Amino acid sequence: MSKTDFTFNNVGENIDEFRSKNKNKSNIFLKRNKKKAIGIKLPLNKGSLENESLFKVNYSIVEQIRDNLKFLLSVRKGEKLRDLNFGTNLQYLFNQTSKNDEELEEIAIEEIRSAVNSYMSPVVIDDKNYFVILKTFNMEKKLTNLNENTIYTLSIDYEISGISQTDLDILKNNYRQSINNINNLVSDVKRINVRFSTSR
Amino acid sequence: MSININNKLQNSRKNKVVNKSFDDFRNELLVYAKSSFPDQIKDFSSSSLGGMLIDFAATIGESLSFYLEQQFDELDYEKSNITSNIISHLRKEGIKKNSSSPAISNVTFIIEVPVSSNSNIIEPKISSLPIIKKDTLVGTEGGVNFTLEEDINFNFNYKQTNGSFDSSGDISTLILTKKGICKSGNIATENINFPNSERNDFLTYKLNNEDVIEIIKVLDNQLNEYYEVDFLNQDTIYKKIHKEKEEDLFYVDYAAYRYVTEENFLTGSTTLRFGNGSEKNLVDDILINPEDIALPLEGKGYTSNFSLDPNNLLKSNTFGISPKGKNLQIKYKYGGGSDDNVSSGQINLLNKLNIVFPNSINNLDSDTDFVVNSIRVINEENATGGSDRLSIEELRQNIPSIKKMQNRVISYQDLLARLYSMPSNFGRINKAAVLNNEYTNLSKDLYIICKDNQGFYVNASNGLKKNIRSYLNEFRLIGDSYNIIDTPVYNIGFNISVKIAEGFEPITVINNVAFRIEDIMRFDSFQIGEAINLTDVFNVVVNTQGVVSIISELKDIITIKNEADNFYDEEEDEIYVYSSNILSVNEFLEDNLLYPGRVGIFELKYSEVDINVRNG
Repeated sequence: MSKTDFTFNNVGENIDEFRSKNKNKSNIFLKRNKKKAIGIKLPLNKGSLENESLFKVNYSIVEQIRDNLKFLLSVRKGEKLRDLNFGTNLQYLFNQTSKNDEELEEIAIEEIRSAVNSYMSPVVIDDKNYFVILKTFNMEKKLTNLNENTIYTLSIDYEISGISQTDLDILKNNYRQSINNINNLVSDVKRINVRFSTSR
Repeated sequence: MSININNKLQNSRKNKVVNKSFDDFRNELLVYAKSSFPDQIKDFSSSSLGGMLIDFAATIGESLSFYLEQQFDELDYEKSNITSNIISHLRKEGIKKNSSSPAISNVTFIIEVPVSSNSNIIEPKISSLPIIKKDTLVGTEGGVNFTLEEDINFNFNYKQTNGSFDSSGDISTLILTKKGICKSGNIATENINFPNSERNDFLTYKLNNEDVIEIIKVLDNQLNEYYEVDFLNQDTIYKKIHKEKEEDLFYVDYAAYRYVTEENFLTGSTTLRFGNGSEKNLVDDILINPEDIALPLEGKGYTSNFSLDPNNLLKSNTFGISPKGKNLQIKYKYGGGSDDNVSSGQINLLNKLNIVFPNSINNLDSDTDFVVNSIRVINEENATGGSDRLSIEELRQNIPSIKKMQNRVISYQDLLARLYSMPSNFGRINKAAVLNNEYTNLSKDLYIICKDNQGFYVNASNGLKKNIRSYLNEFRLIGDSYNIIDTPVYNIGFNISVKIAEGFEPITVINNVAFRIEDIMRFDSFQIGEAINLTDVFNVVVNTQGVVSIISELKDIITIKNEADNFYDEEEDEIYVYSSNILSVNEFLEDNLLYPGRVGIFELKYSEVDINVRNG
């Protein structure tokens, strides 16, 4: 290849090419600045986007708090280093054969309420306080096909107070979810489901 | 004037080099995350995964900090927790032994000897007077053995009382008593062979018994004696020349065959470690020509500074001769402990007798048999000093005092401490004092005084003075010189007239006064140069029940006894002998304090005759 045949197409693009390619994205720099990660997204996945580092991340307070709640409920007490009260005893509870479903439900509600009160009221993110308010609790019981195991599904409805207007805007724009009580700065009711498979 | 605020801000941030607690690390990591990754993560709440990862990192930091701190603590003997490290500290500070210590008792040996038929004076038959040799074993019925530490020579300085009488009523035997120091413990001998094929240069041997008190002798099959030294490169020891009727004489000698003892502080076992040198170099070691040291400088027109080690100056094999290829016999004493502190009277068994009759032509005649069979022992005082092995923690408490120790004499206190802690086989001094020499600043006067077997002050023998010279020579600074001088002893007496109150028995009051003067004034504890406070004597007398007042003048109550006061008491059959030193009370009495001249010591020798108290 002679010197005159050499082009720079394969090594990048000049500013004109960049602008023409992104002419419909006039606020691209602005958008990048706005999209700040909040915390690590569960379940853990390798990060791939520009703002992500090792793991995929949440960009919304609401999603982050949902992941935190999942995390809290799925960790067993004693599993977390240095904080042996972190988590719940739900796994142990649903494997107990001496209690009927009503008792189980009652104890599970208390377990979850206690954990949330201890660790998520408030949730401090970036020096701001957010409060998880538990609304309703529902427990469903289902047998597997082979009738060997029972699957308990806990559905927990909750709200988050202390959400800022910006948080709600991001929630609305990015995830196209309906927002209630915008004026009260409280998120709409969210639900998470936690399943326990037991041999009861 | 403008100020660059940026420079100030840069310098105001304080970087912590090492965090210690979990919270310190967590806060530091949070600050770092917030400042370095503000767009990547914000949620470090306690319920979040991010918070948990931060907790993990902080926990690791705290753990590392803990171990770092622990390692630093182990470098300090006060904070060290690991036993092996504490033992290292103990060895580093010079603590070498942790065996139980033996009890010591002054045991009285009692023998019965025939009376000499060749003399008009009643005295023992010379040929029947024995020397009970050291290593004689005495013991208790409970099984505690004591070993005699010194020869007891009955040829002089013994106490004599009448023994039995013959049919004609004449004294036929005399009872002689003399005391000797005995230490508790058992003696053991072990034989060991170090084959020629042994590879290890510094050969060791672990003794079979624990709590070794002392190694008595180590001999090889060529009768070379191995000497215990503090370090293997210490090549000199004190050697003893035994002299009859005098303290043993010590001199410094080269110790080619030597060993060190290493004690296991936990088990109490003792290991002997020998040198690694070859015997072939032995002659060179001793007879090396000092001129050889100067050879490297020959032919040069200049010299440069160089360092040298006095131990290597002879270029000798400085770690001693190895016992490789030899049979060794090791004799040692072991045992001791607090159980050995037996009460008075308990040491009454003679377990093994080591005796000679130096004046007898035939050691086995009937007289010597009679003497041997008559020997009895008794300890009139409790055995003391026995103690059990110290715990590691107790040993650790000893480190501060060991650190202050030094192996040289710098101050007066060092010198006195050295003298008082001189090994007993060098001889014993009772009191010592150091004064500047009146005529020169280049030397100090070291005044010493000893006690005889009756407890009276007596001048030190020449042998003892030579031993002190040899002993101090190893610790003194090169420019120090001491004149070892006998301390003048001034015998004192008291003449006191008192007025006794009515209703009191005069004899009782007088006896009480004499007794209180002797008991309360504690003349035995007077130091060299210490003055007697006559006001104290006055107070003691006045405060005795029944005494109204003292009639005598204060300056007249004390008198100096001297040769002119010697007398023989026929009733008691006792000779009272006083010191020849004279002191003028008027000259040395100052503010009611009587000083013993420039240097001297007061002694109340015969209290029963030297304290005279009169009524009126």
